[in-house]
Amino acid sequence: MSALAAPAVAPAIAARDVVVRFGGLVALDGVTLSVALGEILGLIGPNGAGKTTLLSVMSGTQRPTSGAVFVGERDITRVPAYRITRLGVARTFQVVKPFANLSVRENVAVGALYGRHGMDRSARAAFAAADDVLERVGLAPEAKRLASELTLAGRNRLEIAKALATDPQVLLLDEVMAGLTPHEIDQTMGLLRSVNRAGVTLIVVEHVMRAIMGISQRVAVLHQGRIIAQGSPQAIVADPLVIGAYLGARYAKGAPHA
Amino acid sequence: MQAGGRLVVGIVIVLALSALLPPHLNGNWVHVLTLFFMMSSLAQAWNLIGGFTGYASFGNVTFFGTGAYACAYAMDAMRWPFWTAALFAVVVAAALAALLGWPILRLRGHYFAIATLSIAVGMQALVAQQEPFGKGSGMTLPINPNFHFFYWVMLGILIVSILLTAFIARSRFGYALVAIRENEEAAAVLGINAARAKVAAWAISAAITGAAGATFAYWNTFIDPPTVFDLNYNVLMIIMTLLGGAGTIVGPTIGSFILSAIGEYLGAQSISPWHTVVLGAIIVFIVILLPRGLMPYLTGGLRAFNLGALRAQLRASRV
Repeated sequence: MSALAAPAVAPAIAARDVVVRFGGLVALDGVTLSVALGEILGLIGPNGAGKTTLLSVMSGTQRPTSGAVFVGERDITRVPAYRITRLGVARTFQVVKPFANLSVRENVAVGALYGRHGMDRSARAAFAAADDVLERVGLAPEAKRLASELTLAGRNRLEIAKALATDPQVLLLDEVMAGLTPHEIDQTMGLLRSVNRAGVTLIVVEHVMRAIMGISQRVAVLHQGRIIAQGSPQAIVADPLVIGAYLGARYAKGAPHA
Repeated sequence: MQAGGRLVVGIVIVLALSALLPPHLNGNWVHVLTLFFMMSSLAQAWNLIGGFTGYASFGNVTFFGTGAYACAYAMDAMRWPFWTAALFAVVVAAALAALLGWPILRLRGHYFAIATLSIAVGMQALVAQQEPFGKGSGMTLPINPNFHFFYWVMLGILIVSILLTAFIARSRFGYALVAIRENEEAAAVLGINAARAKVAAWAISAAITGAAGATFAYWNTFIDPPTVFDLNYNVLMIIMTLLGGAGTIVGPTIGSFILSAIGEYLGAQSISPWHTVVLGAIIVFIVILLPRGLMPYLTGGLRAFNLGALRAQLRASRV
């Protein structure tokens, strides 16, 4: 673990020695990673590195073969996904999963009805909360349209809105900027920064390097199911191991050491 | 949404007013309408699990038969009055759905359909082996000569099932069911306990179905396994719901009305062999042309009648 990841208090979310095997394929091969309260961690790695699988383990949609996941000091390894959400961990899906036959507003309201504070508030209050979220993410003008009618950028934003509506303390974002225009990427980065300023810890999985480097306080690199490097964005882009993982070892030789 | 709301209120009022009809009707019409109320209730019940939650149950007739047998047993062997027996039937049917649902609702799509189908077939065979239920030769219930009574009870079950559906559709629970139908994994990560919601939906569906089964048993005064576990009931529940509009509040009742009217008309023409042919043609028609049933046309008015919208619906169809 790097010096940057040595928080005095319990981390917001942490994975310890997580292994996930799909038959003969090892998707995660002993991943240990912890994210401090209020931190923005960028998680990068080549395709198939195991980024989505790690998010799935942290959100309870994938059981690890071995290892453990903690939210604060609580072991959530065997806790079902819906309860992890109610504990304050939300996620988005890289392949977006809108409720296609519901309106945009209803999509978001479901998160507000069942999320961390869902059971404490009336249905009316949940819809009001959903309207606030729609306002924040800029989807308010689309509120009454069916989710299936949204553009790609709109669907990505809806994915974030649904997760935000559950009032997360930790938000796991799986390539929410994929396929967006540069302008839309800037908008999403601004949104994520404001979400973080409100106290939400973020893990951002992304291929758009400009976004990752611009937003992350710390970056971890996953390669073939292992964390091969973590540190400040500047240190990571200069790390020969990382360059080797992305471009092949040949290109890493001449790279300056961090 | 508003047009849909008005349609629901209108249909409930018409149904409530039809409670005044029996003294003015001959026996055949009382029978026809009682059957229509019963089939509508069964379709409304199926809609909760099949339409709202998206789990196509081919086993709901199990709860019809179970309700019928529970009522028959309570009235015949235990000498309970009908209302107590019917309540008992509702509880037994709902409990059975919860018990079966816990493992079976983990299956999805075709697997769930096949599992429920085998339950329906298996339950019929199982009941036919049981001495207390008269084995294959069935059970006889006390006779109630007042057939208006059954008209009113079935009508009551239908109105309750519509109001219950309307209530669920607007509730937190209803949003959980629809979210599960649209994408179960996405529903789970928003905090929905899908396993519990699905079981609850099936238990409520079974409770309504069991109430109809119990009333049917008393009405018919005789039940045997092939009658009350008849898979045709299950097929009709599905066709009626799809014809009217799955996942809508009154779609199943509208579908049931149309199908019952066609059945009566064809029956009156004494061309009964054609009845099933026409029914088959209707199924094909629904699947190809009305993947969302008639409700979009009823609530969207004439605007819905354009080919572009129809094509868009076809593309969006998950059938």
